[in-house]
Amino acid sequence: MPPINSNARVVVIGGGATGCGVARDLILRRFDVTLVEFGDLGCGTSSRFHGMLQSGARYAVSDTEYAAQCMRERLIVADLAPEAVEQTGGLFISLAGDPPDFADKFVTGCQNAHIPVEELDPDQVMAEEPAISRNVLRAFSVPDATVQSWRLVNLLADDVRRKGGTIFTRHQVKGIEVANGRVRHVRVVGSSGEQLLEADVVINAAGPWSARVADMVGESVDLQLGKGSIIVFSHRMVQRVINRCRLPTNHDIMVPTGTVSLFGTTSKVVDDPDTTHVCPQEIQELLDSAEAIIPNARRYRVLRAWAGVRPLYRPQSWSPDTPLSRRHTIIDHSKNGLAGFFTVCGGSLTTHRFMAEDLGNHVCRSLNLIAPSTTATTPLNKGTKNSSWQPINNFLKIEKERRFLAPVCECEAVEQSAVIDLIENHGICHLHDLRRRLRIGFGPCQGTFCGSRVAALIASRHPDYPASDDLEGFWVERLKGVIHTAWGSQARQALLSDMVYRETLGVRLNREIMPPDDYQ
Amino acid sequence: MKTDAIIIGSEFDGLIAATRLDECGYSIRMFSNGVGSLHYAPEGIHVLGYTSSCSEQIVTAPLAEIPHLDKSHPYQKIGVQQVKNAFNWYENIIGEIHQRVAINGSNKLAVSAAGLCIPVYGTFNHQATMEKISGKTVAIARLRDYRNFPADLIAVGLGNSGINNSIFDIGAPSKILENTVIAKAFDALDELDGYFSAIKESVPTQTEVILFPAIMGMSRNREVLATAERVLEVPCLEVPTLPPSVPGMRLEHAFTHRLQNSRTAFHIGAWPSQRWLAEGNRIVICDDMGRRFEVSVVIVSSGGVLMGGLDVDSYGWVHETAFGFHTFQSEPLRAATVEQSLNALHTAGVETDNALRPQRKESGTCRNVFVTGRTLAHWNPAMESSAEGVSIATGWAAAENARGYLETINNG
Ligand SMILES: Cc1cc2nc3c(=O)[nH]c(=O)nc-3n(C[C@H](O)[C@H](O)[C@H](O)COP(=O)(O)OP(=O)(O)OC[C@H]3O[C@@H](n4cnc5c(N)ncnc54)[C@H](O)[C@@H]3O)c2cc1C
Repeated sequence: MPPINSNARVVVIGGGATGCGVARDLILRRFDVTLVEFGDLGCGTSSRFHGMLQSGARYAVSDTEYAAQCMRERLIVADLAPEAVEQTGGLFISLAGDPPDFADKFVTGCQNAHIPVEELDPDQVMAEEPAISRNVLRAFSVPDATVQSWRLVNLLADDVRRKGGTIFTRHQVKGIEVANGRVRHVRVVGSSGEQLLEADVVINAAGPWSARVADMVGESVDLQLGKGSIIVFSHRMVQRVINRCRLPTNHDIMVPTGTVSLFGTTSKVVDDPDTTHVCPQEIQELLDSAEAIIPNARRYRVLRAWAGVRPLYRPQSWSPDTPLSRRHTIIDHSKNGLAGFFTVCGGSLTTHRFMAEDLGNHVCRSLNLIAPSTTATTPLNKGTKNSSWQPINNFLKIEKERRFLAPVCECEAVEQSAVIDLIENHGICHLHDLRRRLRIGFGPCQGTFCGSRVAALIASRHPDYPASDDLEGFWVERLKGVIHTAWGSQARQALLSDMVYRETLGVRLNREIMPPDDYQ
Repeated sequence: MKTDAIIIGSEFDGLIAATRLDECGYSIRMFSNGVGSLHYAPEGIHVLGYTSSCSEQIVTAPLAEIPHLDKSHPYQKIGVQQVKNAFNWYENIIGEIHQRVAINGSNKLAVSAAGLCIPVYGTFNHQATMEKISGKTVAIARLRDYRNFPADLIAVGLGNSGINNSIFDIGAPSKILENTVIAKAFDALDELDGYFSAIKESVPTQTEVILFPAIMGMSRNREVLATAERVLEVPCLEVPTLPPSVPGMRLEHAFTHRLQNSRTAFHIGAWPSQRWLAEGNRIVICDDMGRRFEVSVVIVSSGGVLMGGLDVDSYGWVHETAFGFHTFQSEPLRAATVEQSLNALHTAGVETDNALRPQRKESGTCRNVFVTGRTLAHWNPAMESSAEGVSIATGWAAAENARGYLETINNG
């Protein structure tokens, strides 16, 4: 066996929160790290999520230890990446009809998990949150927060790059080569063709796709894939994350993020990790439940809906009638005779750093190295001004400078200069990738006006940019979320968008994918 | 003051119907709660560019295609002969009140705001079409700091169609770079010659035709472009911008001016607060201020889902918002793909007979209400590229049918 030193070459598969967190953990331990991501960073579950940096209070009763883990990590992440975190705070409200004894258990659970919890006067809460139900019986405040996942994964990735790591986006791992019971190479296909990356260690951080990656080396990872759908209200209807004070169930959280609010989630076990379609029936379920928290929710404008797939680990000991744990699991496949291959799965975005630390410890142990994790204490971004993310800032700036007509995207107040910077200095040249970084197309008009403006900026700098393809792709992707919520104003918006794209820009709709059979 | 007909909505089809009825001597009131969809429509008369049976292949001769459309399509209800009559009438009136447009022959390809092609039947003089630019060296005028004209996309699009092109930068005549403000600034420019002389040297050499954003004047556009052509010594054409559409507004203004000059009453920002069928088939409509109008005919040109003439609720049911006319929807809208969803939103609407008369749930077909444009079911302007054609045809046909009705009651 060749000698392996602390410069061991590690290939991380998957550029979600977990993969980026793992890459940063290992590069701080002085490994030679390459991360391979099939699409753009964070394009998987890490962006199709509910947007919370959880205090853990939601799990205070059902899994106190996991709740404590969330609380610790929530503080660390907010400290490391304040520019990706908004300290909204959270509320747990008991409504008429909720189990009356739960609230006391909840308080005890939070205390055991070291989650600061405070009982509030329901009248004061209803005054502060005018949109919510008037039937609040008890209310508790906890330190929930929200997180911009794209910002977070890009901060992690930038730090990895700065420290000498390599990140391939739009590259797919197609195979992993093994010799003498050890991983050797990772076979990767990107736009420039196929290449072999040498690897002493391979980390499978492919989220819901982990089982597929493990299958490349004949290993199995038993995941339960849970699809969750979320609807986005076009207003910031609440100031804090609103939870129901009861055992976690489906669709019972409203999360304010940026200028909008996310309500979710449904839950359905699926087989295919690529399942991201939302069913009409789920929309109706979500609306009905939203009305319990926000009366008349059906009359508000809903911008779009999306679904993400949660990869929960199914341990051998699990019995089908108990809920699966939210905690993460690390599998060292050397137990099956395959050295150097690790899978990290389960967990949450909130706990991604802890998952990475745990994984790093496993890797070091397997290589007999002593190199403690320093991710919790090493600043993530030198330039940080330590201010938390304030979505309103862009708008205030534009108002102050009286530049009302300047932004390319008026819904999210994105300025042209920000777009040009990413195109010229970071090599970003797809609408989707700009959207994830700048929130272009996230607002009420869902890309109706900004799409062609941004595409023109790309075209002016990349003469061979496939403009009409990219525009169509961007438009279809935006509308894919809008069609599920096309009532009231948003139905009009969908048709206005159609007028702009098909009748004014001349984009045709040719590349649509049919939904699967279970669609209803 | 006596009113014969009330038109609900200031859509293109409503303007057409009003103009036709006015021309025949009837007095009209128009109710509208805002701008019409012409404010979003690119230049040109789109009659039929694609059909649902073949959405890939461009229709060359729209009128010949009408008999092959679904029987419920508004063109089919009206019938090809009436559609032709409508277009003939339109060709005359538009030449009189606005500018000449030819609506006969076959589809041409308009240059879109992304440099792609959109089939269009009637084109105006300075409207950019592929026919007018192919084989020529094209220069695209990019307005500095102006967001609504993606000149670089046009360059890519034209390049892909094999058209030699380049971009040059010009300054706008106004400080505020918003479509209507720029257009009005061109109207107000004393020194048109000076403006174009100043940009002359930035025009790339060998340019054979220049493409400007379609904001070259709101009312003086022909003069602005003629001056440009004289000074720059090449043909100057307009390419659509992102909305609001200045060419759409020019068209709307031409009709509203014509109607205002003949004393048509406009209730802008007003939506009927109450309406009912009174005795003897009179219809009573109250505006938001409680004023009461009693008329013999109503034409509903309320612009469908896009403009609020139809409303979709969160369960997927579609409602006609002015009178609650029947949409005959058998199940809620639910979409599996973007195309299906858009199609459902476009094709939802009021069911009518061939005379465009809707049905009321209780009392059967209305004799004196006519529905036009986007509020009618069974057509899809975006997929078919047919917005103005159907508006003209249904607006005209509604006016003709209303006229027939008014004649019978006046004679009897
Ligand atoms: C509906 C929903 C709501 C949620 N809400 C919250 C919340 O509010 N707060 C919270 O903390 N957590 C939440 N979660 C959980 C959280 O989103 C996930 O635990 C977390 O994002 C998982 O990150 P990941 O990096 O493991 O997976 P992913 O983000 O899915 O990353 C895996 C990546 O691997 C890539 N990949 C796959 N195969 C290959 C290959 N062969 N080659 C290269 N790359 C490959 C994929 O493209 C993908 O980007 C939610 C989950 C769901 C489904």
